[in-house]
Amino acid sequence: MKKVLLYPCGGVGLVVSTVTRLASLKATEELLPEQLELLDMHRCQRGAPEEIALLENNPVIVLDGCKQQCGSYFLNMLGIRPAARLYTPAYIAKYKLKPGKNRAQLEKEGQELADAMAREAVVVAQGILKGPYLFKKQKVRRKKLPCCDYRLDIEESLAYDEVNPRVHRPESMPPLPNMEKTDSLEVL
Amino acid sequence: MVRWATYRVNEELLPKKTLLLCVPAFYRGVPEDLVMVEKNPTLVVDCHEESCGSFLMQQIGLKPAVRLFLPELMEVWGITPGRERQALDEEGRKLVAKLSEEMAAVARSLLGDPEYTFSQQKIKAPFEGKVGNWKANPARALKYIQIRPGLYRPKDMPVLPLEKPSFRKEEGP
Repeated sequence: MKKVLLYPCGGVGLVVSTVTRLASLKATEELLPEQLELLDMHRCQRGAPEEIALLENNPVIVLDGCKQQCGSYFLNMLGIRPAARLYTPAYIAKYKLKPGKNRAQLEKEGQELADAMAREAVVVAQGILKGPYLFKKQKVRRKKLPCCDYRLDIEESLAYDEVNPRVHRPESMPPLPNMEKTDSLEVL
Repeated sequence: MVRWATYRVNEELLPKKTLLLCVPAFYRGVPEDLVMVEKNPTLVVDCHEESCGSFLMQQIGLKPAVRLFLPELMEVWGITPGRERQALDEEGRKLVAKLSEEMAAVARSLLGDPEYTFSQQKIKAPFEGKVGNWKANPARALKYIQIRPGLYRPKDMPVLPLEKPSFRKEEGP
């Protein structure tokens, strides 16, 4: 693989959305700039051809901010299975870091939380990039998108398996190299 | 920039009088995000020609009360968006200050005018989403009319207080 996409949940209501956004920006701008790229969900939904091609042709790591898991839902709505999902509440629990109260600009703990997510996103991405990782191109569903189904259990729908308490992948997607039987950050 | 400006309006300039529509939560079907957009007039800010914000409204069959179009506003103000995404640089701070004041002024004009008659809208049901047609223009589909550079409303939506001659007089030259 040459490129991996990061998709932060994209919300505006909760501070955790800012955590996922900052984690994705740190990872793509500072940690692995050549091989990571941000996915813009608004442009996908709008139908931007190059954004849809990115999504169809590359594995995507989604960063869900809260239990609503809107990031995973959005990909599922488009018929796309993420290569991996990072779940912010699990990082809050593991590192005992609070996202804080400032949605516009995270406080120190929130930034540390974003750092932790960015680092693990990079570990997941590096595993995929180095392989072996058998990625098959996917196809974006363009019509009759199942929107606004609040009752849908998204973890069940995507059949998420736990790779570690913070990282999940759909059981039908390839195993994540160097991730499946170990805790990546402790190895680091 | 728009996100930062929106937080400023929601938290500092018009707290408790504005709600933020979270688009991912909307697609998820979080009930409060569906209800808020049906029951309240919506101000959409489009960052560029792609008009993703307007597209969402078009897709769900609702009309925004107002649309701000950032490229035209930036041209009027002579401000660029800056280059930083993780934190605001000097240019970004200027733009956020200016945009948030513009958004708040529009919202205040709606809130403060007893004659502004907004009727509740209803999301078309069953709502099945679709990926947009890239060649189509949401601004045209929503039949926007320009009130002044950067400020639009759909032709079929109520006249904005900002359009009335009396308001213009209060606003000054």
